[in-house]
Amino acid sequence: MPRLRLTGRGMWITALIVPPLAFVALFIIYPIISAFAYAFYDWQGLLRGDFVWFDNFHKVLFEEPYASWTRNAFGHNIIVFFALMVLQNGVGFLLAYALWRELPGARFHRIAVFLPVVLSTIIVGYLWKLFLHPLFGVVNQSARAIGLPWLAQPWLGQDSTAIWALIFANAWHMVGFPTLVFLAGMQRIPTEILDAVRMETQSEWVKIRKIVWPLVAPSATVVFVLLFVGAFNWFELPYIMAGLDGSPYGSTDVLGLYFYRTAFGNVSSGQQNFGLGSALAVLIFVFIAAVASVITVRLRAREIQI
Amino acid sequence: MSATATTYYDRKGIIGTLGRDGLLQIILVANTFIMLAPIVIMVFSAFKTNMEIFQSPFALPDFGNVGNFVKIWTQTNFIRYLLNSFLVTGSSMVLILTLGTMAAYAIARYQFFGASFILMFFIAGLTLPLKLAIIPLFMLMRDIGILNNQLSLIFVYTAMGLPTTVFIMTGFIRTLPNELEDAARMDGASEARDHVVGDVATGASRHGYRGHSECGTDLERLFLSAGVYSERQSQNPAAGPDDFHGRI
Repeated sequence: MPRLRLTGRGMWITALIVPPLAFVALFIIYPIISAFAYAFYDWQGLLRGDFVWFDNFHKVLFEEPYASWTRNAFGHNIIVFFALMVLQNGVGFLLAYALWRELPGARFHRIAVFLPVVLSTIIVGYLWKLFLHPLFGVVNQSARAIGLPWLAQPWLGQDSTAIWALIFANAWHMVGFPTLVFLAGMQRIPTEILDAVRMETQSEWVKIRKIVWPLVAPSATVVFVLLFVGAFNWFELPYIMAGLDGSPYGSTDVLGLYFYRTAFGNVSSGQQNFGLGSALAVLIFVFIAAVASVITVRLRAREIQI
Repeated sequence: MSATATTYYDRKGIIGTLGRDGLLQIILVANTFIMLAPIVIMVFSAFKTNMEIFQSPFALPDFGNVGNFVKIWTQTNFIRYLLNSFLVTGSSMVLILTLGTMAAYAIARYQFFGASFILMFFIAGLTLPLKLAIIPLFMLMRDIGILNNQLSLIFVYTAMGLPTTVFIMTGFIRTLPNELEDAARMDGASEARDHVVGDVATGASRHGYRGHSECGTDLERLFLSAGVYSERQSQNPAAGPDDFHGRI
């Protein structure tokens, strides 16, 4: 850090920090806090009842049927997180590495990888829902056409495959993001270091493991944390492709859907329970914030300043 | 001795490189195909009737068949959606980039009391389940008096986009060499007036911008769907796909 010789340094920093902070505080933190307060009341529909301390939390965590629903949804979130870690960040790193070598056509490939990211989740959801249609869908039609009939499954209709279909669609949609972040990180590695490595070793593997991977650590921190937060806040894609109930049979139920259903009700049952929903939201938030902070601190510790 | 060593080195290098690059190229081509095929099919489908989509999804369509587009143009309020979209996304993006870079620069470059706490505050904003905030947000907008107004959406999107932006930009600015700014200061630049921030930092962090300004637009569009709940009258574009559901 350079020493700063600056008059009114405090003023300058304040001027930089306060406007963005004010936006976040007014339009995110304040509404959320008022919503969190709802978690401690007993709600009759939209009517606020008595202050009931931690009853809602206890119900969501330990009382049936809520407890098993919570466990089910939470388990799916964990599957989604680890699957996307491999499919999205792992593949993203590989693609970034391939793009970084500037092979012929790299520019074109880079645009292709990033193209789905600019589509909105709504479009991606409907697109893959149509593609995965068991009879008319493009996926099953092409599977049958190329002589792999076992690939023609009702992907979204079976509880064994539905969540994987969603994970695939999400990876297809977002893989360009980690790719681009990793690529930017790789392009920032100074050429002198790479030249020095070339003198030392021929092994590409050693180069990746000892040089590239440690030096893109800041990029890795960013994509890992964002993926963690995204995986546990997963809502839009399952909502569009699997519906509010996480069909079939709750096999794609994730915390986002479960929370929404509890708080605002669904088509089949109009029951709304703001108390339980808010309690769930508080728990989800505390969990995400705690784990994300730990991940951030741990990953930041291994970052190296070039 | 040295000549043989060089030959050996070169030969192995060439073969190794060809094999490796060939593999990487195959991976890239395969991936590009997986990425583009669905989009191409989607574009094709836009020129087909439902019958044609189900019967021959891969066939080249008759590009003169613009019935679907005409239908959207005449039967829905498409131009309105589009303009709203531009207005909301454009203004919130300008706000997000300006405010986000300000905060990120201050956090990344200055050591001051509470810097890491403020970063944590922004990251916390990233993890909050915003769906729950819809009802309090609705009441807040009503109290400020910008309900059923694009301003309400712009403000919410700005607030939503800021945490990601600050998070990414802080990371990027941290990796920028301090020497660039030192050099600028040496040449007599004061903090604000001579654009240490403006020229040097943003110039060198264009990568950061490119990455997330595009993902920023996506995040916005994504929440538009939720915005529809409370703001149906503002007629937002995400209502589009909703209206067109089943009529691809």
